[in-house]
Amino acid sequence: MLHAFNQKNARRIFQARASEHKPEKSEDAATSMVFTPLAFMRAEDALECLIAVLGAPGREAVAGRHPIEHEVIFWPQGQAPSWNGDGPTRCEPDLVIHFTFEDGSNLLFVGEMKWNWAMEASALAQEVKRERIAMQALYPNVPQMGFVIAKCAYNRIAGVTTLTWKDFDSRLAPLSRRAVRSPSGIWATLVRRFLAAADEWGFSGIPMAAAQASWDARPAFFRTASPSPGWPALSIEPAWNIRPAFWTVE
Amino acid sequence: MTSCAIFSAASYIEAVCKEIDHLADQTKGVFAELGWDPVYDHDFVVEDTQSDLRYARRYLLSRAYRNQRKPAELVLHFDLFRPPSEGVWDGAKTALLIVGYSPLIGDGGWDAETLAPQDNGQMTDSNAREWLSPTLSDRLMVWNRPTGAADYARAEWLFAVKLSEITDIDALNRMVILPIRSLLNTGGEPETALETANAIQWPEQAA
Repeated sequence: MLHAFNQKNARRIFQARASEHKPEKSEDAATSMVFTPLAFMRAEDALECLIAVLGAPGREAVAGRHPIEHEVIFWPQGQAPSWNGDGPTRCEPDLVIHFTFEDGSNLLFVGEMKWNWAMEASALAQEVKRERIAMQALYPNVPQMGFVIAKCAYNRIAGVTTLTWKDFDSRLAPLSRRAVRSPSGIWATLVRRFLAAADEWGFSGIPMAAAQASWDARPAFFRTASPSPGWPALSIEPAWNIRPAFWTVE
Repeated sequence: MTSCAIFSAASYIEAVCKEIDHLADQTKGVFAELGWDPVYDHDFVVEDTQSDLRYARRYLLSRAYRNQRKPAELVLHFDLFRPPSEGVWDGAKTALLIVGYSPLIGDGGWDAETLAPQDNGQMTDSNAREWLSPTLSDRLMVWNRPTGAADYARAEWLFAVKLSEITDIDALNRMVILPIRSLLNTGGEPETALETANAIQWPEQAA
């Protein structure tokens, strides 16, 4: 998906059937676009990607251990006490990555992504807490490392690392600039191109030379042009692609 | 790739300016996370006939320090170039980020001219030269501060760091965010923070 989005100008991700489309599809698409590649990497490369993003909390959780296996699961279906305290209801984080190490306990990264939805902070904290409970049931006795990535900034939520997508982009910058090609470096570069096109490009450092300087000025999400006012019966379609990437219900 | 040095230089400046925008946005985001309630002043511009390579962002902060009653001002002044001048200075021929703060008491407040140094470290504005004096190992310039006073949240000050050293988000935190926080928070250690930030040392100003 990243290659299609970046190189082929692919913007239509789901069938534009209004009955099916919901705004949160953008969130699912972004989650998959960004994190699916980790499923195809070796465990150590996938872990390197996560540590680059999560920083010190991730490093402390790993404590220098060497991973031997990993599994990436999107939207794992779990159960947790409902919001109103009644019996358990369905609860699924956006992303779970389970690592097995040569020594010591396994580690579970639990990710919650928000794209256009600016969820209220206390509600997000409650959702994250439910996800933790749900994943504890699915992966008993496995320490968890929770993180949230959203467009808006959240104050600290206990037990998770909260980042904006721009923070995420900033943290990928050093990985993308490595001279030696690596799966994690290629991933970081592609994701950064996506985030730049989506105008979620964070501060990545003052470039030291022209070679470091690059950005994508193309708009990611196009607006449909309104009909020309002089010719209400005629709509003139511009030469460039005006179809939006993520459909919204009118 | 281009063999045209002018195009290459212009492309580089474009890229630097783009990152300056992101740096300012990121800084504002951090202030918001700290609960300082930053508001961007769209009307604050730099008008400088000597150089087009100065950019500034001004933020009003409502909750930056304890018992704050009115918005304080924080200006990020990106000073990429200045004409050569007589004298030797740590910040000479270096692109700088000059951070200016004012609690906006009375007629206080920074503008692009009062935050502009010459290439020898003497401030361009004569009023600024008269009232600013270096302190904290000469890394902070404070406006008309009574001797011994250490409440920097209620004083006007500026410090400068080398823009080229802000190479990633960690450097931004170390060189910009932490010094500001240490100056505005009681119990902070601004002298240490400014040294860690490698903030430029200023000469005594000649009135």
